[in-house]
Amino acid sequence: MSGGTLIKVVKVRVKSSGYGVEDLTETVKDVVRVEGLKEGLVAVFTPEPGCSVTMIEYEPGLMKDLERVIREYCGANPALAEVLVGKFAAAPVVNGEVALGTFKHFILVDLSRRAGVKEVLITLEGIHGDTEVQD
Amino acid sequence: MKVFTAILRFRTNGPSGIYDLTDALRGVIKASGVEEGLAWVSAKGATPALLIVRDDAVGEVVRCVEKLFPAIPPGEPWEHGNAYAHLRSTVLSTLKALPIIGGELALPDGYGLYFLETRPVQNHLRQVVVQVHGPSPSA
Repeated sequence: MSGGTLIKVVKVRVKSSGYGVEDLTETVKDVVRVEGLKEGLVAVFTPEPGCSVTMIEYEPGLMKDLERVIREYCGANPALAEVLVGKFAAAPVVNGEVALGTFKHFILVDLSRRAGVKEVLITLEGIHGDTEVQD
Repeated sequence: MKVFTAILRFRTNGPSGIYDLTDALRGVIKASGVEEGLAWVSAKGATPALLIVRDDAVGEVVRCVEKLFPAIPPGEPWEHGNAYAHLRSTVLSTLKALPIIGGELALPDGYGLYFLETRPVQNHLRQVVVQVHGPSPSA
């Protein structure tokens, strides 16, 4: 196998109303494409207090269900939601494509009640160049 | 750095079908030739989950997950038809990572990596990506 090692952290900024969900999937795919990761892992993390990152189908009804779960299980405490929903999600990159399946998206869940620009760190780790896939 | 990718394909039945992927994972690690590294395991799709669990506790874990996110919740129904399946998947995660030491999976005896099918499906084709990360082979 040839190709160089790629390890890079890309900071992206996401506009948020301070209470809601932002879809990160296209941003993640763009970063993978622009940086040329061919085989490896893309990891998404948010350092923002009151914000979480996870993977789920991005559909309005399901977002209401997620909000209900957060409300019922975490009350009004965003710190609990950061643990239940998580601060981190990741997926493999195979032949340059983020391996998600049809409906799974990366999302940012913001419960901070502070509108503004939120930072998300997208870490790429792997190979750019030729690949080796056993299928 | 070396990245070795393999895709496991298998058919599932559900809801709450459980599939032991440990031997298949060990096979991929062996095929990768990586002695020291990390095995990332990721289930494609928005409803399955991957569990690292003690073999004799699998049934109990599944019942616990069903209770945590019931198909029919108390009070109002879910907005999204199979929300329970998505929520189980999201909270348990479709991604796990396991260390490789001396060419072997660092799992204690009696533990395994399991795939949980959360949907009421029959003979459903599922894919799990296994990606082994390790140092470049020495020249």
